[in-house]
Amino acid sequence: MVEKKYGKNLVFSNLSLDLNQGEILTISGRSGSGKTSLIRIIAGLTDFTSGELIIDQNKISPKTRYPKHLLGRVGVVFQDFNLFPHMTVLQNVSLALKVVKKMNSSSANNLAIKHLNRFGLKKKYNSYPNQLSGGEKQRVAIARAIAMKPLVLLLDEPTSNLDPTSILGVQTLLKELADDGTPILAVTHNMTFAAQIGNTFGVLNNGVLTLSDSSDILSQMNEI
Amino acid sequence: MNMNLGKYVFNEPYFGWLLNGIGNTLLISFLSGSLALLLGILLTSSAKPQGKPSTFSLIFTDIFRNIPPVPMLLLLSIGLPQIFSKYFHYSLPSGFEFKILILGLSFNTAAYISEILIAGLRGVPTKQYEAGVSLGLGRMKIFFLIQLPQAFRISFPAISTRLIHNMKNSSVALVIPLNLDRMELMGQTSRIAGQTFAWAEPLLFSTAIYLVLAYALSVLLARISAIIDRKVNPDECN
Amino acid sequence: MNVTELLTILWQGFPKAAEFINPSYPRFLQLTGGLQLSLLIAICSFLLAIVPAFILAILRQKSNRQASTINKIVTSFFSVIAKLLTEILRGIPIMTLALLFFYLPYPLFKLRVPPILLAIAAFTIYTSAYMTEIFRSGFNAVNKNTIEAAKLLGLSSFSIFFRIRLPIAIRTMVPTLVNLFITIFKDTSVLTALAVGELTYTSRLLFVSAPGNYTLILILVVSIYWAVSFLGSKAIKILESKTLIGSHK
Repeated sequence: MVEKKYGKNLVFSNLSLDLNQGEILTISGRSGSGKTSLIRIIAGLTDFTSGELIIDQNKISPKTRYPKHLLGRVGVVFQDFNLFPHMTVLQNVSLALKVVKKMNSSSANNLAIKHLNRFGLKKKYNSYPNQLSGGEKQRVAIARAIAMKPLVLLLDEPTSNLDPTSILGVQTLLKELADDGTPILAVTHNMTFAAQIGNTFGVLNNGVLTLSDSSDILSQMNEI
Repeated sequence: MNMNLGKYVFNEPYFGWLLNGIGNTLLISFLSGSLALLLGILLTSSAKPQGKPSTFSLIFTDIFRNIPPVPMLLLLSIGLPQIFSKYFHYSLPSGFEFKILILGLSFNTAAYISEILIAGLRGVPTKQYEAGVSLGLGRMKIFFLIQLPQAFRISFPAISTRLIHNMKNSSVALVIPLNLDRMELMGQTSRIAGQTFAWAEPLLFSTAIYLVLAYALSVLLARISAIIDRKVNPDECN
Repeated sequence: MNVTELLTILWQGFPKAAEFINPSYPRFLQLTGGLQLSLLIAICSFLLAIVPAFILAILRQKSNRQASTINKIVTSFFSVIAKLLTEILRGIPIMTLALLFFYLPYPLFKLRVPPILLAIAAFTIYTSAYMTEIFRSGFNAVNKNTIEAAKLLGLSSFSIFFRIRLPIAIRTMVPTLVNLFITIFKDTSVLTALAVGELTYTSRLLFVSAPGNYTLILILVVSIYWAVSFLGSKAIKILESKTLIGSHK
C-alpha cells in the first residue's frame, strides 16, 4: 500500500497492488492521474508519503532509504527512452553490465549482442541513438533494461512515441518477456494496447486504483 | 602603492581629455554599431527565403569575421593611403582614419550580425514565407515585412552581445593614428600616460567607464529586446 | 625582401640582437615572435584558463532542492561572486585588460615581469571568463532523464559523472571551445599596442626594414590571421556534424 503527496496535494492513497512472476499488469488513467509517479516510486526515483513497498522481500518505507542493491534490478523503460546519446547501441546495453555487474568486456558485449539480436537489432550495434527510429530506440531501451535481468520491468507510456507497426512489435516482445518470467508493469493511456497485452488491468482515477482481471474494466476509462 | 587620481584623472586638462574620449567611444560605437546593423540586414536580405545565404554575403562574412580588427585597421589606415598615392597619385585627406575606424569596426560586426540573422531567418517557419507569397507580396516585401521582424526577435539577444562587443572593440583604435580630438577612451588614456608617465590612474578610471558603458548598453538592449518581443509575437501567428 | 623572407620572419618573429636579450628571463621567451608567439600565447592562456573556468563554472551551479538552508546560502553566495567576477571581466575590452596587466604590477607592487608572461596572464583571465560560460552551459545541457536512466541501471555517482555527464558535456562543448580558441588567437593582435612581438607587432617592425612594402606586409599578415581563423571555423563545422551523431536524442 502506497500513498503519495506532492506538498498538500494527494496524488493517490490506499493504492495497493501485487505483481507476480509472468504477469503483465497495465495501469491506465488520464494524464496527471499519477501513473508516472507510481513508476517513479517503485523505481526509487521519487519518495512516497506513507505506506510500504516490497520488492523481492526488500521492505521499503518512506523512512528507509531505497536499497542501493535494487538499483539496476528494477528495469525502467521511459517514455522518451533516455538512451545515452554519446554511446552506440551496443555500448548503451553493455555499459551497466561492465560497470555495475563487473562483467569483462567480451562477455558483456556477447550478452548485449544476444539481447539485441533477439530484439531484431542485429544491424544496429554501432548506430547512435539519433540514427534510430522510435521503435528501434524503444527496443534498445528494453534490451538495456532486460540485459540486467531485472526483478520487474516498468514501462512508462510505451506506445506514445511509436507508430502502429512498432506498437504491434512491442506487444509481441513484452508477451515473450513475461512468458520468460519477468513481471511487467506498463502504465499507458492507450486502452487498446492495454487490453492487448495485459493479464491484469488497472484504472487509476482520482487517486484510486481499481484492478480487474478482465479488460472490460478499461471501459471505465471512457466514462472518466 | 600610491595612486593619485586627483592629479592624473580629475585634473585639467586630463579630465577633459577623458570626457572627450568617452564621447568619442560612444560616437564610434553608435555609428559603427548602426552601420553594422544596417549592413547585416542588407546582407541577410540577399539570402534565399529558406535562409541559405547568398554567395556575396558568404564571402563578406568569411572575410571580415576571420580578420581581427587590429590588423584590418592597420591595413586600412596604413596600406590604403599607400595604395592611393602609389597607383592613383592621390593622398587621402587628414582625419580619414576616423572614418576608416568606423568602417572597419562595422564590417567586422556586420559579418557576425548577418550570420546571426541568417540563423534567425532559418528559425522563422517557411509557412510565413508561403503565406506572404499567397498574398502576392514580392520577395523583398516578404523579407522586410514578414521574415525580418520575426528573425530579429529570435536573434536579438545574440545581436546585443555582438553590439556590446563592438563597443568594447572600439578600444583597438589605440593602434591607429587619430586626431587628438577624435581619440576614444583608450587613446586619451594613453595620451595622458604619454605626458605624465602615469598609467595606473587613467587606466583604472577608463576600465571603470567601460564597465559602466557595457552595463548600460546591456540594459538598454534588454529594454529594446523586450519591446521587440511585445511587438512581434510569433506564438500567436502560427 | 621577397615574400618568402617576409613570411619566414612573420612566422618566427623579428630577429632580436644579442645585446637586447635580458639574461634574467628565459631566452626562448625572448626569441620567439610572430605567428609562433601569437599561437603560443593563445594556447598557453587557453590551457591555463581551463582550471579557473572549471572552478568558476562549478561555483555557479545552483544547489539542489534537498540541500540544507546553510548549504543553499553558501552556494548562492559563491554563485553570485563567481557571476559578478565573470560579468566584470566580460565588460572590459581585452585591449584595456592587457594594458592593466602591463601597467599596474609595477606602480602598485613594484613587480617586474617579462611582457610575454604578462600577456599570457591577461589572456588567461580573459579566456577563463568566457570559458566559464561554456562549461556551465555544457554541464546544464546534459538531460536530467539521461542521468536518471544511468542511476536506475545502478551506476555510481562517480561512474555517472565520468561515463555519462562529462562525455556528453564535452561533446556539446568542443565546437564552442574551438571557437573560443580562435577568438583568443585573433585577440592576441591587440598586444601589438604593448610592443609584444606577436604577429601584428612583427609586421610593424618589418615596416622599418622593408620600407615601401607596408601594403604587401599587411596583406600577408591579414591573410595569415584569416587562414588560421577560416580553417578553424571549417574545423568547427566538421566537429559539429560529428558530435551531432553523439549528442542528440
